[in-house]
Amino acid sequence: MNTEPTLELSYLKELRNYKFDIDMLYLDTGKDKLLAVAGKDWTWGDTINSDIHFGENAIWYKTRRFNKIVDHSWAGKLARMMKTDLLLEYGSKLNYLDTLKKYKEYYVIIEDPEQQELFQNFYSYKTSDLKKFMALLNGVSVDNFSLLNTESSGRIGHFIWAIHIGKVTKWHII
Amino acid sequence: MAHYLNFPTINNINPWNDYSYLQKANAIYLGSAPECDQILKDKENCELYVDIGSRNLLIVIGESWTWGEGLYAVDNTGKLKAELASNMPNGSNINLRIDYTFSGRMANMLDHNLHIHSVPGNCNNQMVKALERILSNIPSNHYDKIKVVLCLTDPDRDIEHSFDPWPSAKKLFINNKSNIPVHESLTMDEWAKVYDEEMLAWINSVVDRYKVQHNIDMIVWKNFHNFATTNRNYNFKIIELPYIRWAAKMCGLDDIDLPLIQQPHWWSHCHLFKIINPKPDIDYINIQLDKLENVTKFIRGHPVALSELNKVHPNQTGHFVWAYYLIREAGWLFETY
Repeated sequence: MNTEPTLELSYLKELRNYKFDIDMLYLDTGKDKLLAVAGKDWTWGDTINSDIHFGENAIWYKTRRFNKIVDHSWAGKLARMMKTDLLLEYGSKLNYLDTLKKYKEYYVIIEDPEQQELFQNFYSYKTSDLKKFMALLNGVSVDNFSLLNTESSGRIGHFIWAIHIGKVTKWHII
Repeated sequence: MAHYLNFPTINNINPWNDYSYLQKANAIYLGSAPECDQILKDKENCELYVDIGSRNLLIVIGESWTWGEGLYAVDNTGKLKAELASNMPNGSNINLRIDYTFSGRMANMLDHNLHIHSVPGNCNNQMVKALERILSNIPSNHYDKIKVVLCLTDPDRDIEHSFDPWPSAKKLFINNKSNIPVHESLTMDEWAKVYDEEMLAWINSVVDRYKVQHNIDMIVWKNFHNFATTNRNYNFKIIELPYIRWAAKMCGLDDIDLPLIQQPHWWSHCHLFKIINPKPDIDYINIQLDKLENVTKFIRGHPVALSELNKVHPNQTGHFVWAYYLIREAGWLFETY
């Protein structure tokens, strides 16, 4: 597994432990707060490597994404800014959260949620809202916009979505 | 019909993809900045106007950060190259400076026409003069709305004669050497506060003069420094977080302590010429220089900048994320999200 930082100020420099599988990522940096996110392809990082500015158009094999997801996905960036550990799962449900009982505070975000449990700090959004937001950033109508393989929905889009989510949840306002 | 700007138009500017702001452009005009001193006027094409047929206009005024000096060239697929836009042959970087700067990003999100005044090395008093010129050239009610974004940069650069329209600010600088601060009864902290208040009052007066003929909504931001004044009673909005502190937070740092001045020679002048009374002592100056070193390491560390948003100046990522931040803080877009 490649856990090498890809940024000078990478959160991976605080890495203590991790788990990684085809549908989940857990980053333990020793914090007492956890950000838990479940999301679909875009959230799982399908465009962070295909971002046109960064010159790699192939989507990587999923099991090699660990360090890139932590450094460049919106979930990784938000965890870095909020100073939380991170659980990121692929899909619309958090299956691994029950195995992480040690935290004092939990912050949960689910895209198109299938889960109905009540979480103290909970936020959800629809993929269609994400797409509208990214279309607005690109200055085009949502009908003319594709969420995959565009500049602003790549790494830069993840950066912006991270501060946007921090703001709308009021969990980390810059 | 002739455009109100007497700028030449250009052709053959290629949008990089379907989402490009340039894709919307009917015409692009290039101009210079007549209020700038000769050394700055040598930077050609520092004024750009993009007409997309909107009834609204975005005016962006600034220096090298607004010009786009930290942008990298891109190939014809949009992939970044190693070459900086500022090193490219004159005129070949126009599409970068429109499509990839925060100015172009904001205009694209807002669907507004765009007027950029960006001169590398520009100073605050010349930028306020440019604001007045640009507003005065626009016929009354030509636009439904004019949004203005102005960057205040290091006071070190101001040119004395450019304070002619606002003479009360002249007293803050030594004659003929306007980059040397002077005052008989202010500490440097107080000097910075008075400087801010003079500049902001001047901007306020310009906006006041044109608010009858134009519907103006304006924001003012800083790249290097905090606003030293706490006065917020202006006809524009102040963006509280300077770019460098914002970038530090974006990169996961708690915050970064900013110096009063971005140039080390400023402190030599204070010390050697004894022109600030009370004179800042050596401990105070060293604290300021420590802060300056820290900022420099963040935006220009070796071998790479600590900030992924900068290589001294904002890069493509820094411009785009800053555009989102400014537009959100101005309340111009994303209010429903």
